[in-house]
Amino acid sequence: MTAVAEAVSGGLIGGRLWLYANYHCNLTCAYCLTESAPAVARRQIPVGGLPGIAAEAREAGFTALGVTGGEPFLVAGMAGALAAMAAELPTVVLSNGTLFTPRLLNELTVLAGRDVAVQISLDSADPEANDEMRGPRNFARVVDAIPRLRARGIRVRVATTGDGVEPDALARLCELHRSLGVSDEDHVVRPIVRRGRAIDHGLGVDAGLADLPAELTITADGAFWSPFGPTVHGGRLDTDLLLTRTTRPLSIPAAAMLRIAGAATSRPASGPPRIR
Amino acid sequence: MARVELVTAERAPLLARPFYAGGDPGPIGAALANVPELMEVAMPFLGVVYGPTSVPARLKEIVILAVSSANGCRYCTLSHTAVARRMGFAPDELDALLGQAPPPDRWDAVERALLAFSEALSHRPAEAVDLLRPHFGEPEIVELVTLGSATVMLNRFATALELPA
Repeated sequence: MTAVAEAVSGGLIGGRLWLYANYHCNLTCAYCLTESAPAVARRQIPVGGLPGIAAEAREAGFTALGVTGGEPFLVAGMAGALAAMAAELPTVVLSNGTLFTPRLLNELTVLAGRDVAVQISLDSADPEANDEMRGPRNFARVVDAIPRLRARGIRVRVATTGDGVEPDALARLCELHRSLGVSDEDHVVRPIVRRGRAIDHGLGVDAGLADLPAELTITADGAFWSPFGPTVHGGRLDTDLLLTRTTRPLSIPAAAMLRIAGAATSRPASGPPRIR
Repeated sequence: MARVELVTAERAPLLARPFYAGGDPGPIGAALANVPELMEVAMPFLGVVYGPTSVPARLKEIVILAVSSANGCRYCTLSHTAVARRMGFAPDELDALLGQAPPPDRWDAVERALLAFSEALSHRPAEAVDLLRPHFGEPEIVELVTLGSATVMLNRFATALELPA
């Protein structure tokens, strides 16, 4: 058993390895951790390298993969890369759900039946409330995309991000995602973390090392403690949760993560991470 | 103004945080923090090289300041002139270490050898060790060459990055 596998099975770190495919996005969401927008620097991990990282992750002892950004589906060749990654480990890709044109949907047919889930952001069953945070016509595009993906045999998850979602609003949202064929098991609700653009809008909760999931996260700028780590504020990458600039071989950032995680467990218990 | 970010405590990466525990790690540390895995090994290395060892601190300071002067490093020369002054080096000794005067007559053969060694290491490194052999054993020679070479490295580092003195 590898050191990573032992740490994952012992709960010291999470089993999912995250990859920031890119930082640019067609949307400019108010709470975006990475200040993503159409014109920002792309800072892509070369898409051709993603399957190799996935293979290395499996060998190292990670149990799942996550791809995020930016909007990963702005990267040409992402569908094929996801198919290859899923051959190594179960993979989830986070998307804003607004780019699923007939052409992209055709490309995504390679994911049918594979262990890949497309996790789409949807914050409210009320189109106006949803679009206030995520941009015009976002709701309509997402609600249109989910059945189209599912019709192609692709598993869809829904992610809701918000500050204290009201029970009634949550109930309506759950009713909506169920009507779109997404089960409760595939619906995740997470708080806004006060990093990135959320700081400027006064949104979210403060979160430090102990509050965030210990899930190794690889970006073009280095390896981070958590997918909430490689945030951008004022156009500048935050480095407070940076582990190493070296990302490959994965053993280097993984070893750094295990050292930090081990040190953290030697401190007085502060409870499990608040952010999931 | 430095040519790279001098990382503040608030932005210190996880592996770099221990080096901020005692306060500002200084410009060299703050620059190294940009690459935390490098800082994690470089800082302890530099701590051993520049900390207390078998070679007396006064002799080590002769090498540090004379090498820095020979290599034209503004940051290292200014910072170690202050260090040497605090250690009790007299003005005429500082002038010698900065290459502005010959060594004082009161200096012994060991101190003169270290001054010559520092100049040689900076410009004719193949000749440097012979200057130490009459006065030091091999472990001390290795230590002094390491000290002088680490200083050359930091001279280049501080000059290239324009670290503020």
